[in-house]
Amino acid sequence: MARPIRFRTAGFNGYAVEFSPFFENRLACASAANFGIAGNGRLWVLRAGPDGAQVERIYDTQDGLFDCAWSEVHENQLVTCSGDGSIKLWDLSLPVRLRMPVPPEYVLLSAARDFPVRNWAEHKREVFTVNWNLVRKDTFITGSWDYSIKMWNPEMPNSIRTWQEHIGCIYQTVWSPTSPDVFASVGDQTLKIWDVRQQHSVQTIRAHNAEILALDWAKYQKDRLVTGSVDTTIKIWDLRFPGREAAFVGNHEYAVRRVKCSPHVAGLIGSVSYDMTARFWDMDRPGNHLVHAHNDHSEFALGLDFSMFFRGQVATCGWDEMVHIFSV
Amino acid sequence: MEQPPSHPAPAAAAAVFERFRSFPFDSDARFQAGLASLRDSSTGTLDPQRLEQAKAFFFSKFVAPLDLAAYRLWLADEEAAARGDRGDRAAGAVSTGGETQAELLADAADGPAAGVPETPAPSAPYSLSFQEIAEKVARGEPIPGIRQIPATVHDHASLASLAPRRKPWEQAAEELLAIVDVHDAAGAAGGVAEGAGAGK
Repeated sequence: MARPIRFRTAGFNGYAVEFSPFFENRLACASAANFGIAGNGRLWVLRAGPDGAQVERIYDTQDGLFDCAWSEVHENQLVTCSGDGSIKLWDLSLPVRLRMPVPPEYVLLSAARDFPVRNWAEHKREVFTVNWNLVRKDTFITGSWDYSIKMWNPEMPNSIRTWQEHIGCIYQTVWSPTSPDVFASVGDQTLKIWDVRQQHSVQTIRAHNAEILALDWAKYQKDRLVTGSVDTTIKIWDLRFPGREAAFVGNHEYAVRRVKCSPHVAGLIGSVSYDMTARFWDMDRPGNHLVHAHNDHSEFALGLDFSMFFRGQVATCGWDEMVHIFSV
Repeated sequence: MEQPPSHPAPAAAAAVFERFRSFPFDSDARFQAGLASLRDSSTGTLDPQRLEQAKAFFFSKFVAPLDLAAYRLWLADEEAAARGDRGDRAAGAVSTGGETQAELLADAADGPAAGVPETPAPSAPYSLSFQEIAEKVARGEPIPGIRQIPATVHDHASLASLAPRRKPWEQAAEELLAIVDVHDAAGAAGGVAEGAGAGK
């Protein structure tokens, strides 16, 4: 916790970083070679300690990985989504071994790697977002550039539900932190609210006049969400008053790629952007809400997460092949 | 895999490749010292592929930047030309070589990879810039270093052993409820600690 940690995801550009909900020192980074344009993906499972971050596991995939989510019910499982449309479930507690037959050059190169326990291939294009249900904890959702949202159960061979309503790429889907059946999605300039028991979205808000890349639910105000857009702005929405934003959080210099609401501090919001910075905003501070800017990435900053264990501890990752762990 | 179009290396690149091929690795003390740490501790051996990657990394760092995948293509061409044939050079040359220096170190160290914090640049295959890769894709050229990974899936998974933890906002809500309960019960002291004490 004490001093900042730097870890190099050598050869792979970071897209998402997520802290484990079970172990205070464990985090995962989803990454893609060649900036995700073409090439392999790699899931890094890291252990943060006083001497920096160490690799616990490395899993390689055929195509770039764009997001990951830890299981909320199994302390050793997590799910990734990929540029080839596939979704994979990984189990860290399986002994590391290779199942034959695999090409000999793979055996040569893969001493520390292994395969997933499940692979789903239903989405027809890039899957940019995966998120595990925080309340019921038995399902997760994915959003794709094929414009569809799918709900999955890790035990089931096929998706449970599919929703097709967005008219553009979907960039993020996020479960409500308090309602077991409610989630939200963003993409084509709209923010949509969904109830898994219904066929269509229950609410649609035209939240920006540009693509919306980033989304999170407030943890302490159940009707509020935060959106971040290509238009560089971050806004707060109150579902009871959808006509206009409830508050303006702030700006980046370029598109906002991800936003997260602190699990510990009601007014604290983090954001990362193509302007290479991570910024932290305190909505309880009047005037300019910006309380901290992290300027240490040297390329697009794409991943961000708050620790569930340590108040103020965050991790970021980006195209500079770096994971940063620090406190705000 | 489709054979990539023939694109002769520019003279400057060829000069670097030639220098790499003839570099006196065997007599370079600094390289040999580094190599010692990569050898398998039990057998004292190092397989040829790793040896080449180690050489490429060393060369890139101390002599001149080297694209190992491009070098392999060039070398295959050279060897084919020497043999007088222009056979299928791409077969093995393109699909391997994705290993980075970090992994060389990680794999060399026994057990869980021994951290990669301040290792220098990875070896060549992934060192192309965004623009170079975008242009290669636009021209339909192969991207070096892409490995074919089998679509294998384990036939079983492990069972969970830990119960989910309460989220911070759930704890806060319970504590609030507990306080409200206390006030409602006007001094009835029981039941306060339970909600507040759950989880961490």
